[in-house]
Amino acid sequence: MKLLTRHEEHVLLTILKLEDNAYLVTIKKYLEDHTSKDLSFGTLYVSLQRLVKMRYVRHYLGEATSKRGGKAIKYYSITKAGLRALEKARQIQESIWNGFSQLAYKVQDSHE
Amino acid sequence: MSKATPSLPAWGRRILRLLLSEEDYIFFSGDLEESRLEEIKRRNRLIARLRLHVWLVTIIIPILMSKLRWVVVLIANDLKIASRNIRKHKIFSIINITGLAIGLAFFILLISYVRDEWSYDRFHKKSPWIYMTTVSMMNDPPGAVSAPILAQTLQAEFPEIRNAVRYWLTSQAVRSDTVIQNQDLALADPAFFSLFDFSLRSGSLDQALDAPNKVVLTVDSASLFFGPADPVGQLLSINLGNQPRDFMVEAVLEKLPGNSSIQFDLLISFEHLSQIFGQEFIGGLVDTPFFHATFLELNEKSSPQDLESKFPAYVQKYYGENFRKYEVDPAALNLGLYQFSDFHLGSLNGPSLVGRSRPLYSWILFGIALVVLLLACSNYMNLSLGLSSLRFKEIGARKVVGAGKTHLLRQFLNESLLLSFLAIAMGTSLAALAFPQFNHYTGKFLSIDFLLNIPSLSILAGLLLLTGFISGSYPAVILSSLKITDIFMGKLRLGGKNVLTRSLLIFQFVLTIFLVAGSLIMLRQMDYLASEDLGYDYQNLVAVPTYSFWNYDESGDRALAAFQRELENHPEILAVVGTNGYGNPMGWSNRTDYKFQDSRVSVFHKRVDYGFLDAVKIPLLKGRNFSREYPSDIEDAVIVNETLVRRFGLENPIGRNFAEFAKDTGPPSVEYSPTIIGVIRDFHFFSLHEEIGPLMLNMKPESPWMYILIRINSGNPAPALAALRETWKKVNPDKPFNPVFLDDTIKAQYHKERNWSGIIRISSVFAILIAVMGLFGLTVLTVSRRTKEIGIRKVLGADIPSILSLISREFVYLILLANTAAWPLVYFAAAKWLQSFAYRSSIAFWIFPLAGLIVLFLGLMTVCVQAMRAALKDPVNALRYE
Repeated sequence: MKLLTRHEEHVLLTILKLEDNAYLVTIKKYLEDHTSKDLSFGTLYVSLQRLVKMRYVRHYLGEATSKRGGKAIKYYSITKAGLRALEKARQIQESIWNGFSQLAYKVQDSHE
Repeated sequence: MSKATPSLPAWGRRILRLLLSEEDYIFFSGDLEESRLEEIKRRNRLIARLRLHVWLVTIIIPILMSKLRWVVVLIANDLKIASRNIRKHKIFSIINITGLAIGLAFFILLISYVRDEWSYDRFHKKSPWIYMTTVSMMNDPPGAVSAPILAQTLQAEFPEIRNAVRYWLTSQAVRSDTVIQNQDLALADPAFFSLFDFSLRSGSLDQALDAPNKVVLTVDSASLFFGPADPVGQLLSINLGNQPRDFMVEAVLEKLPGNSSIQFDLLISFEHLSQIFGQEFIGGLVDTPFFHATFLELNEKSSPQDLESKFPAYVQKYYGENFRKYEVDPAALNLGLYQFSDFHLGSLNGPSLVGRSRPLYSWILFGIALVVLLLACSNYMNLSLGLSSLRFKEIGARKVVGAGKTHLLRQFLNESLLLSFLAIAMGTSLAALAFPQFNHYTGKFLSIDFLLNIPSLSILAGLLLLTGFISGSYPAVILSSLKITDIFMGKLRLGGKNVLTRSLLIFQFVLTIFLVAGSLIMLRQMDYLASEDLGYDYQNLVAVPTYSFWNYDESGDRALAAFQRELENHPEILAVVGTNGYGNPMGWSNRTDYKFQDSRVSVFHKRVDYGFLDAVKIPLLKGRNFSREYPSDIEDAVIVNETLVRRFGLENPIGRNFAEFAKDTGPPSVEYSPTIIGVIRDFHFFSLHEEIGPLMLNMKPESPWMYILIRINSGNPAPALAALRETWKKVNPDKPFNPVFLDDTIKAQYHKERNWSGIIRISSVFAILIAVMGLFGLTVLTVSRRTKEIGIRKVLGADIPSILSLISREFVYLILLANTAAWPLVYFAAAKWLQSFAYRSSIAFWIFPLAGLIVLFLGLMTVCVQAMRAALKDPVNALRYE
């Protein structure tokens, strides 16, 4: 199984957290709020397409609102495969981060 | 949220629709709609709109990149390699790009000129349906002239004519409170503005020509007479038929477009014609000469040929009776149609229209433009070819790691596309910078703006692709098909030595020699025109316009008498005579058409004074001058020119009366049959473009003196002018004193030729420049490839001249070969061109070797500078260079 990139990881987690309300606009806003970086709709759209293609994410249709010029919403939700991929990513993260604080402490010590 | 928030721009929606699936597009644009409002909240409208566009770009780019990912990567890589190569071979790249850019800039300039020439009178929306009536009598060449009666009768007779507009251009005196000036005054029927589209600055055109005593001005004449204020509603006085009349300004037009054959300063209703000529003149049929233009707007569906075929019956009906009265066959009157938009480059005479030009000129320019562009392209091709031979190792390495033929092809093409893109960008900006100077030479008002529309830009883009493709394809094909082993064994040589490069070089030099020799011949012809003996001495001749045209008063006679009385003994003034002439003081002032052996001969009159011939130094060949001893000279005597004697085949002209050999075709009341008392040598009373016509000098006071000619001593003209002014002010205090020097007016007549030779001169300089740049690049290549050889030769004792000849020998051969091909081409082209002049210089044969020598000299200079550098190098460095 291919590893997730950091960006994909963030997108998946956002979809998970937003529950019923995960669509392009909300995902973008959430990510921008948390990373405090601008994100282009285009970029987000491209990575969502990739995630859909890898079957980590599926989409379903919502209803149209006037706010959107009468166009329906395409919601995203995470699949089981997506959850597994996140789980895996987390394991890898944790094993790699393991022991970080002690070592970081040490490095700081030796410099002082 | 306000209603003013702009929605998604159409271009963005279109691109997204292309990039996304139908379904995705709907959702995605919905998402965008939703956050668009967020994105542009609380900003002013302009910034909001601007931000929206930027925002869309940032959205589209990642999607585009994800779709085109591999293509983008490949092209980006190619471009990277290309830009490295450009930087590595700086000199070549600069020569390559600037050469092409200069060629292109020049191409753009010339094409804009040619385009302007070809666009004459096509800006009127109705231009495809606008025709002019033409008339020819007894097989004379047709002219765009007609009689006033024609318009109504044609329109009544033929339903396919939707509108008929009579139009006449004349020159009349116009006066406001502050200015008196002769102006080009046009008279036209009310439908004029429904046929022709001229843009309005102020006032209204709806009823401007419906009634008399209203005038339409152009911006220039408005500011001349009224200054910067809006003149609509003001009064202006125009002299019509010897009587000043008041006109109310109805409208002011913008400057009439430069590519319009209709040019005037003021426009009034056609009804005023009767005030110039008298009512009976306008009403009459056959007695009325054909003089003004008639424009017809035809029905979209009717064909001009069909209409033309009905004209003979029309002529019989309206003119038959009158013609037979004068014993003339009505069939001699040939009525025809001529498409108005063809007029500018056509051969039709149109006295009311201006600025016909020879189509040959725009073809020559178009040819030069193509040649220069071809030169630049072949240059570019040659250099790229030579340059690519320095890149064998790169290509070999690419092949070894698996680059296929198509890949190499694509790489080279991309590279040359990048180069030609740079060249086009540079060329366009060069052209934009050069336009003011170019306008100065051409007398036109052109700008780069003509390029800034979709069709022109796409042509430019096509040009870019074509140049890049042509110049990149040969090296690309050759280089991509090389054998790897050959490459690394160093067996290969390309450029400089092979057949293609040589033939390209020869081609270039043929074109260059062609242009140089061609421009030398053209310049000679222009000089010839400018220096041709006009037949009289125009140096130190001052003409004082009398402005008696203003109200046909006696001011001309008064001034002439005063000048002769008071200034005859002035030490600086040699002669004072009166004369009449249209346009210039030496022109003709009247015309009579004689019937002579079944054809019509127009004879021009010029009213002169006693002593005219001596004052302008025209020699009398036979007979005698006008003399006060013969009082009948004033009414009956004429002095004719040689052309007239030849035209009428007079063996013994002196003493002959016109009635003996020719019949005045005008109405009997004004029949003119004078007696010839002398013959003078021909002088040019038209411009030099036109052949001298039959002329008679007479003294008959047909109209008041228009000019007073004064011959002054050479040297300082100021005292003479001061004396003239003083006398003038005494007798004509209300008229301006504006003396002109004849040599100035004659120079002004030839400004078109001067402009033309300016263009030719610049083009040959450009052509030489481009060719020399190409040669320079090739020499640099040759020298760099032969560094080692030169080093060895020096070590073995070769001296500098022998090395110079080693390198330059081949180029000299090529240039000599090119000469033999270029000379016959130039000869034929030049002979053809010169045929279009009534007075032409001969083709001097020294021009051919001279052109060859110029090119050879410049070529050798370029080669030798490079060769010198190679020859002077320390051989040790040369041998160690690898």
